Amino acid sequence: MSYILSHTKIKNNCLWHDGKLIAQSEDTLNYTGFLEEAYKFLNLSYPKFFKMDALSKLGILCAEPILANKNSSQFSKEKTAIVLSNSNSSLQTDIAYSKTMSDFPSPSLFVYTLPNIVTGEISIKHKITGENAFFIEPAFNADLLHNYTELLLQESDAVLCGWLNTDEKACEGFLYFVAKQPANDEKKINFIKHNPNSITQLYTN
Amino acid sequence: MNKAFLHNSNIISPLGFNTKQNFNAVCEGGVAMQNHVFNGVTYCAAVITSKLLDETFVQQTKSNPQEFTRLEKMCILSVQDVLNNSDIDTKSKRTLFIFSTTKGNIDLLENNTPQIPGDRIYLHETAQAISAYFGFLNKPLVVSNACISGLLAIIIAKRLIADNQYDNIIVTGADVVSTFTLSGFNSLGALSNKVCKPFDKNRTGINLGEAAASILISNQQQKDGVEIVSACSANDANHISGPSRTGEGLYKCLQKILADNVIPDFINAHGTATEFNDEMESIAFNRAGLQNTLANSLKGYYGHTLGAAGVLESIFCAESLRQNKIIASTGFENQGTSIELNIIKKTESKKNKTCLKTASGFGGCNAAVLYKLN
Repeated sequence: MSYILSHTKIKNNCLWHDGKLIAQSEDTLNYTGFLEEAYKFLNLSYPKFFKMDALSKLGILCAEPILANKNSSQFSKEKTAIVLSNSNSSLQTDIAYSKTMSDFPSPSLFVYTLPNIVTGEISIKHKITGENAFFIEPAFNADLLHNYTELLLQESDAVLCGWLNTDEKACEGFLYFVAKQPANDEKKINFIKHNPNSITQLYTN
Repeated sequence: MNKAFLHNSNIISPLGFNTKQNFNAVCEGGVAMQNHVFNGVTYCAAVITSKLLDETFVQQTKSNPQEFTRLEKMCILSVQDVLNNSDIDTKSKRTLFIFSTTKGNIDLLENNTPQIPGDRIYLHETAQAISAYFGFLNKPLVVSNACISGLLAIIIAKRLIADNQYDNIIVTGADVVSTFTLSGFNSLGALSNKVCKPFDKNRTGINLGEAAASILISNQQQKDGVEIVSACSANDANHISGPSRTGEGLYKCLQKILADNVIPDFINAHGTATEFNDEMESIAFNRAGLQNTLANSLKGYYGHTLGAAGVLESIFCAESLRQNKIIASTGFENQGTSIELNIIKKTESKKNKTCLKTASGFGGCNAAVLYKLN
């Protein structure tokens, strides 16, 4: 049996951690503005953040409350995997880069034209060196994430997984941290059981 | 736990439209890269002639070439060849199609054609178009994880088969050469304007290449079956666009999959011919005690085919094991890494049983697979 130890969500200019609303901005603020406000709210001091594209910013912000938490930091970083998914890959940045092509092609944009760069950014910030996978799906797919995470847990201790999707108008981030139940620790029983239903509930609620 | 085996395969590339043509061309020293002009700029790249692609597509599939993009036509030809040479049922619940790509139909950003719906820029739509063509019952799985995509797709297939979720999985890796990727790698200063020279002292960067490569991975053992013995991925957690100087992530992969001090008969490295990649690989191989193991890179024949590379190169690993051949790392003349590697200089017959395949990519990702001829 495996458990969801912590989860975060960013949508509609709100950031939730473990079901609690922890940052919110006016609807009128565009989402990239919200991501910068959320950075301040989380008291991050990570100047690299401002060089990132929206997808990586979204991932860094969703990962932070989970990985700064003592429940997740007890696991070996070498045995923590990152499994992410979205539907737009890096298309928003692809378009931004393609607009620079005829003039001065921007290498700093080009490096973000891959979906798994956000995996790299989260890995660098939290020194996580385990397994990686990035899946592209038409919509959030709890079955796929659950299935592959369970396969990885045969050899990994924990998996950070979820959905990070951006386009020009909106972003949607949902990350959660799954681990095998640590032995002889009754308190862990209170955590959410890891199955497609519980994942879907956390995603839709 | 079921075992997973590499079965029949196909490669669509400038060197040929099936595995046999490609393997023979490479054994004879064929190189796919030539000078091509994209948007007025000359690049050294491996590009499939559109006319030949369309003619072959019409001949082999009797379908309208206008309804599919270049990438999709390459993939359809590739998957069709694999299906023609096997008896797997695409409509079975126990059959899966995995599609690996980095940029998919990125060329649609510049040349949108009226016959192709605009949503085919989405990788899941591209995969769905290919999958629907063959009537796969299961929804395709799309893996996009930079330059390890192809090898990672094979690793995922192995895990799904080991867990008895499927009997047969077709993994297709594909990317095209586009103004987008050429301009991007050029902006990073990563492109060589001559045919690339992996691991050589005078290497000056990568060439881009296009290919679609497909392989059937099955739980059925067969004659000449190549088993996927062990496989894993790991992140450097170091830099998004450069490898760890100490080869951290790749070394972690090697430590994990070469348990019990197994030394493979040869290594098919990532070997992109950039300064940093080849240096990093030499360090990781040395740390794992593999500095004397025969090693090659196929990038000197095909360029870097991005999302196709891991599949295309794994097909070569399997054929090298089956045909007892070791393939020269073309472009290599003088040691060019701080750790001396045992780079294969001449294509020749040699008995082999095991082979290590590695890949590394942007985002700090690394992957490695150990193949064994049964």
